[in-house]
Amino acid sequence: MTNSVSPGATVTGTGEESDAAEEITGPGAPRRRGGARSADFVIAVALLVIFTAAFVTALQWQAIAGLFPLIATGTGIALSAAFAVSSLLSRERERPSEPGPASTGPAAGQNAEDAEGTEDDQADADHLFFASLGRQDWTVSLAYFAAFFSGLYVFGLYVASVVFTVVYLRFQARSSWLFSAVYAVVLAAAVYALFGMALELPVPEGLLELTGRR
Amino acid sequence: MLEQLGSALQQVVAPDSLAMLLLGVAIGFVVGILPGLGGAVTLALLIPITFGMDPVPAFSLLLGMYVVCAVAGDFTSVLFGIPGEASAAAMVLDGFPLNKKGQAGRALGAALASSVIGAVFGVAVLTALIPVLSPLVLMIGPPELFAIGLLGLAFVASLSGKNMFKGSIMAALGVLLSLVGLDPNTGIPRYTFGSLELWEGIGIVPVVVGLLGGAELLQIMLDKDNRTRHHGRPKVGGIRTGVLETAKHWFLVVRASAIGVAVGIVPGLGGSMAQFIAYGHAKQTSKKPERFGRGAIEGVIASGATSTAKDGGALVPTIAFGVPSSVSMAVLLGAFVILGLDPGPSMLTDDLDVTLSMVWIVVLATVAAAALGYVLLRPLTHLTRVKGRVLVPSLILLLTLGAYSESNSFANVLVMLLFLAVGVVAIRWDWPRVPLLLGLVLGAILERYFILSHSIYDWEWLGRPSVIAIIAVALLLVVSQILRALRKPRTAVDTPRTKEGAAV
Amino acid sequence: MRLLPALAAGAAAMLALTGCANASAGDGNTVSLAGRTIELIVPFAPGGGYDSYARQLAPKLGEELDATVIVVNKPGAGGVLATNELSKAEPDGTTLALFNMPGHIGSALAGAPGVQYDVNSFSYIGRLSSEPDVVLTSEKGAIDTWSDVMKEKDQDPTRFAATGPGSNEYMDGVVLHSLLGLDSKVITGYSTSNEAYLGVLSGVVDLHSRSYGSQESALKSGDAVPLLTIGSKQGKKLLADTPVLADIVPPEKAELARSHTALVESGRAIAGPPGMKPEQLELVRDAFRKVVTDPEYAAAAEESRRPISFATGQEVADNVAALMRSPKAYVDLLEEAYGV
Repeated sequence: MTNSVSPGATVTGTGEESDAAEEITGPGAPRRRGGARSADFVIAVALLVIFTAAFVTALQWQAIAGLFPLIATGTGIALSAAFAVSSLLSRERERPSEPGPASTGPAAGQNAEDAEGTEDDQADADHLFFASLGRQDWTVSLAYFAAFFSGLYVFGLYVASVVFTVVYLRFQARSSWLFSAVYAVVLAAAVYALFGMALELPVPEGLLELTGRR
Repeated sequence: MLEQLGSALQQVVAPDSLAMLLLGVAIGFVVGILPGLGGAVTLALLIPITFGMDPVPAFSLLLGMYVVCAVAGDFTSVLFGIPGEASAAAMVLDGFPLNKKGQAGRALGAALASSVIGAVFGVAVLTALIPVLSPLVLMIGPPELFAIGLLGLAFVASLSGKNMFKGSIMAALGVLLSLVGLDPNTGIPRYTFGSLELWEGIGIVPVVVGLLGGAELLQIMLDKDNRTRHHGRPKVGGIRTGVLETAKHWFLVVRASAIGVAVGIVPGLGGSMAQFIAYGHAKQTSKKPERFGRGAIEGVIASGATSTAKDGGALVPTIAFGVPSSVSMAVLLGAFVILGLDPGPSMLTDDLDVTLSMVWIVVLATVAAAALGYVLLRPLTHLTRVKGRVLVPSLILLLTLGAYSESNSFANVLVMLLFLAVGVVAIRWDWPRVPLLLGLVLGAILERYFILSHSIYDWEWLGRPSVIAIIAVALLLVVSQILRALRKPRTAVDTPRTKEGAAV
Repeated sequence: MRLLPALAAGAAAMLALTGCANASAGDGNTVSLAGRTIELIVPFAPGGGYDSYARQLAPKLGEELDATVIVVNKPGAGGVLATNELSKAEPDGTTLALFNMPGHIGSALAGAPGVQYDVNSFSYIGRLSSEPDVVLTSEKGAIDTWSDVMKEKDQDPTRFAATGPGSNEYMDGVVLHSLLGLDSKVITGYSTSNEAYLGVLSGVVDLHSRSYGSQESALKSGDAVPLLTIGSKQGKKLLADTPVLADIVPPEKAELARSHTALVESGRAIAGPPGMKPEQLELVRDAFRKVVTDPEYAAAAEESRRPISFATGQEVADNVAALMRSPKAYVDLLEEAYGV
């Protein structure tokens, strides 16, 4: 991986705790509130569709089975519809003056009276962290992720885990081949010792039914 | 009874019992790390070992293992952001953010200390209630349980962070998810899309693991520069700080323990509900609710105390009636039968020594676990200094096995992945995740006891004084939350986001 | 961008490892199970009678077959999920299951949704236990004997507590209502049978019906009083004073009572997938018989309140076939009990 998506971000921390969060809000991050509002709108509409579909399905059931689903989904419909409308309205209102990046930085408005104020940005950092990623970050990580779980589905836990560990550590964590291999073997052995030998519990064996058992 | 307490203690510290207890603690520590493997599964595996044992050593092994899982689960929650048990989900909410700031020691110190106090409190209540156990549990019928479910739902507001609107929608979604499966009253499949795997409903473990832990894993994978982590020296030495802070918040520990015990006592509510109520309560009564979800030590303390206190409560109906209030207790009940004990009145007369020995087992096992945890704390917190990506292969296994192990089903791995995606979307666009969990936990309770109350009492149950009282408390909670939100300056578009609680 | 090479290398490595693992797998032509790992599937969550029976049996059966028998819990769809899975498993003797036979046969008879198997096709290994169902009430309540239940016809309907349709306890409620002309209804929605029993104990619901073994503690403690036995009460002192269903039904319903008793008493049995090789089936049946008819094993089982009631695999298969030919009126009742 050579490209960084937030080119403004400095790579290493300096020990100042608020730095982590600030780096993430570097230029290039799609973090504007207007953007968040339209995402809220989309999510609310998606949930509205789910609730409505569930409501319609529940209509076909006899009273005792359908009553509670109707109440729950009815509430869901009302809430998500109302929220969709309100987020649409607030988006319209915002459009003329979009807030500048400075005002959304979580470090802004830090309060000295809160002794730990500078450390309290973590949850926002999570939110902004995901917002700061570009397409390539997602593609690479999701590809590894998908590869592990499809490997798990087809080849079972042991094979998927060993291969994933070696490849991931070597190419993503930039560890040495030796370290990656030892790590993979130790991990698989630990799982086998616990599940295969001590507890005699099954692990996902995959379509090919590779459990290490005979 | 004091005398009997003494003789029960003697039985527990007898060499064979003590050996079993320590073995149980060791096993519990290992399996407690893995979500899904903790309670019921391992108990079932251990039961054959107890064939032919005397009751006290047998329970030392079983109960010792079981209570330690809760303590060990806190380690997973704090160190990796993956809940070590379904009932340790609330621990993640503040424990992991503290870890990210380099304060894993402080968080775990507080978690261990509050767990010990919670366990002691839980069994103290159990002991105190022994004479009135039976009438107490029988007083609570389906109408009261429905009302308690509503009371739980009232905490959605305080668990929603800065946006109650979003929180309520997520809670409704959680309730909808709780309805998936065979309808208990008519037997028709609801929202199962023709899949038999969904007939028993959506399990809480894969959802909790995916929603909370999965998002963390993905974040580490995506984070190529360790940007979201604390830089510089981690403050491992904060263990003592954490313990002292627990002492400082002693009243919160008591209240959280009381919530844990109360929810644990009632069969049908289940331990996963207690943590959210205790957490929501801690946040509501805190002077700085905005810190919750970002590393508030009170959140850690409340979750820690509840996670062990609930076990003391859960033992009550198991002992008094042979009616277990959780799956793990059901397995433990199987052990009663195998050991030739009859849950019921005789446990409080002829077999009182066994009952009281359980009290000591819980106390001693928790203390032993805390001591072991204390020793392991320093080496374990070094893990947090390891480059995030090196942990990824271990974490991905933890997630997979956690989701899979509870019912040995690959379908649950898929459920975990689905909720991992939901969790990432929720974080990315700032939708609170915990109300969804609360809805999922409470949805089934609300429906079950609503229909049961109706089929037993028609509508007259709505007029019961106890029901009215509980619902009134719930309404009061909601109203006070709304007033509190209104009193604050309205969240303008560019208000600094640090001023109100984070979406957790 | 090194993503593609990395993924390609990974896929290749997985395939290579697969080859190694396959080479070491045993070949499928031998009958002996020596050295193999056998999964004994329990279609329910840990805890409860099925799980304990299986865990008690597994090590001994393994010893007898010179194999390792491990218990695997696969809960789902009231056991139907695991049964469907077993019906499609490789019939090489390495997969067995412990069935709740009343549910297993009942759901097939009623044509319950989700059933994808032919009950008669399984390779039955043998019956592990068989117990009567007992209807009980709270010791504190107004009902003391079964005739109190029968007399109370002018009052409110008698209420049975149950989890939901398809459960053994629900079936009993429906069958008693029809066979004895009770003015009764089944209250459903309890999350577990234990909770349903608690409903009876608190006096909210009148009756609860479940297998003898799961109620023995409650009866011994004196909290609950037995009222009626469905099946044989032989050797069960606690049930001595209760009437037996087959004795109290009107003559025209006698056949239905027989069918229902046979279903209840079909008990818990071990089975393999359809199509096991006859020699191998005999091998497993033989090993199973040796284990559970060993007096020492039976005594230990009795002591831990999991009494053995053995029947051969052939007897189980015959019993299944007979039950599948139950009269239409009984099938109708079961359909009602399953909400079909």
